Amino acid sequence: MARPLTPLGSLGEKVAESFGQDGGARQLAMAQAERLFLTNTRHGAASNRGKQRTWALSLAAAACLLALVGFVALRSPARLAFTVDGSAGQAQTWLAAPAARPMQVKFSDGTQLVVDPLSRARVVDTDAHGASIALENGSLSANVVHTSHSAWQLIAGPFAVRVTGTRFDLRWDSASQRFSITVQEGSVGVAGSIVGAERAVRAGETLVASVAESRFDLINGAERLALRAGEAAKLPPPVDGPAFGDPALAPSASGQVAPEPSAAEAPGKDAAGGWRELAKQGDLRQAFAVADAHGFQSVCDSATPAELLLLGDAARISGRADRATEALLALRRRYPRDPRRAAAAFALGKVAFDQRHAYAQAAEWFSTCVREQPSGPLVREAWGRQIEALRNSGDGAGAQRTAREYLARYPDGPHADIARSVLK
Amino acid sequence: MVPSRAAQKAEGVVLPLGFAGDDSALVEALRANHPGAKAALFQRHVGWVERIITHVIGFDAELADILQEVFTRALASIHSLKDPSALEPWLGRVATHTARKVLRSRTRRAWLRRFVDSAEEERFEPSASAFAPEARQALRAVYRVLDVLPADERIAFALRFVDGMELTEVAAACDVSLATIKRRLVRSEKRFVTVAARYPELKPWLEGGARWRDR
Repeated sequence: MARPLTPLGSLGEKVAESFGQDGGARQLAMAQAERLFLTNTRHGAASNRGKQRTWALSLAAAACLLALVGFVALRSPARLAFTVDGSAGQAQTWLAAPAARPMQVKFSDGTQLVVDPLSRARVVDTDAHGASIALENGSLSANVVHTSHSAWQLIAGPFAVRVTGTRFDLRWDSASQRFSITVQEGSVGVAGSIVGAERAVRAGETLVASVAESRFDLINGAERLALRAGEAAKLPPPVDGPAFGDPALAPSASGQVAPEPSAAEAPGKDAAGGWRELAKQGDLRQAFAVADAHGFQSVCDSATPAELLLLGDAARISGRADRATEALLALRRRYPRDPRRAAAAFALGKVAFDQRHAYAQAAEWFSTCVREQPSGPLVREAWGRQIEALRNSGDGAGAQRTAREYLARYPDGPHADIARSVLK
Repeated sequence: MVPSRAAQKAEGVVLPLGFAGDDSALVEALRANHPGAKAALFQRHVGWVERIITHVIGFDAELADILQEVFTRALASIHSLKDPSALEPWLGRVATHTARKVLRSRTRRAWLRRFVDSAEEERFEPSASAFAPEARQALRAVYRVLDVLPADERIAFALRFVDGMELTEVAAACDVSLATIKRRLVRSEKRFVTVAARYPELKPWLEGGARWRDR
């Protein structure tokens, strides 16, 4: 401030100070003014004087503008327009669907989005070929018109969905950090967060991911049904989590065999028995904490194969790759003829890949999974993950061999794009 | 403005998102009718504009309406802003022009105030109860004196002495030359001192010895 050092300057300073101490009324006035301003200018309201000037300018420049607009129109196609529940929509607007009904968003190319009740989304931007949509929370259904130039993107939390012309349902829960996309028609590519590089999700498939648990599943229709049955029977969740493995304990090297579990060895009451109940309730972190507190090794020594898979999962989610490894290797060591050994191998491969970045080891574990159960439920995923692991480990030749095998078996599989990229 | 939960449950809600960018980008966004730009214009610059209005006009019950008018005028004439990076001083000019309009309008209606003194009292009512009555009276007296000055002299005086602007800033805000603002200030100072002599509550201040007594 540059008030003169005079009595009037001193008076002015005192006046300003007094205003500065009356923040309440002025703040209220500013808030009220903001509401008035934004409400009155929502539809482009302007002062009468401004409108008159604008009208005069428009008349004077109309001929030139028409020529310019026509030239621009020919050179650059118009952005897609859209409506929200029948009213003209604008990019950079926040959409919140009411509780009683969904919100309909219709684009000028025929693409339609249905934002489910109480869900929130944004149309971030549009161009001539598509739009960028952000799903902030909740779910939406999309029916995207496919053309050779279609370019749509949806963002849900840390995940990006590239769409080229599809029907799908998208869900993102910001509180639990859970993501899912179910494709009914066509395909999408999902990238970001724990999914990593773009993965294809095709018609009939669902990709579910949990950021908090650092896990994701790519499920086809048959497997989704199997999971529902398993959930109903309180079976342990599918093992897709990481666990770290020692290739020396692969079946070819195994020499230590533990007897199969019998009723006498079925888990009974013991000091750490509470972890089982916690795990069945879905509280895997607490389950691991209880098991670890009571001697993890002894817990593993008395666990069944299913329980060892669960312990491996619980340890992984808790950030303990070492304990996850211990549980999964215990399964493979104690139950050499149990079919879940292959699942343990797959899980060991995932933790080597995702958490340890030990790609060569990961490739070996995925290969073990395929070898031990060539027609098992995880074999397609194991083939695909093996391609990635070999590529990342620098074994280009191995990656290409595996890619050819994969494409021969699963030409439309979720890793088909990765396989083709390796072969280029 | 965030809708109430009840409102959101009943109807869908469409709200503009916030705008991020400097003033030059903000001006371009306003010209492009970016839905978040209007709110950004207001939120970024209302403090500066409100200070000008309040310092020139004083405490006023119509402050919200005056502020709304400033920003509405600014939005309507945004295309006339030649240098988008000079948005803030340009808004200052819009604010002073609006203040001048309000003052002249009130001057024309001055005869009504003889019959509605109570309304004027309410218009000027410092809500700061932290001040002693003497200080509140002195503040009121300042603006009674300023009411006597012609609008252009009053604006120059308020911007220089109350807001503390440099002479060049006052000239820019009033959209006149430095020489013109100096002449206005000379006249306003003489008038202010002459009229203020009629208000005993201002005497201590003009003698430089007054102190605000806070509760």
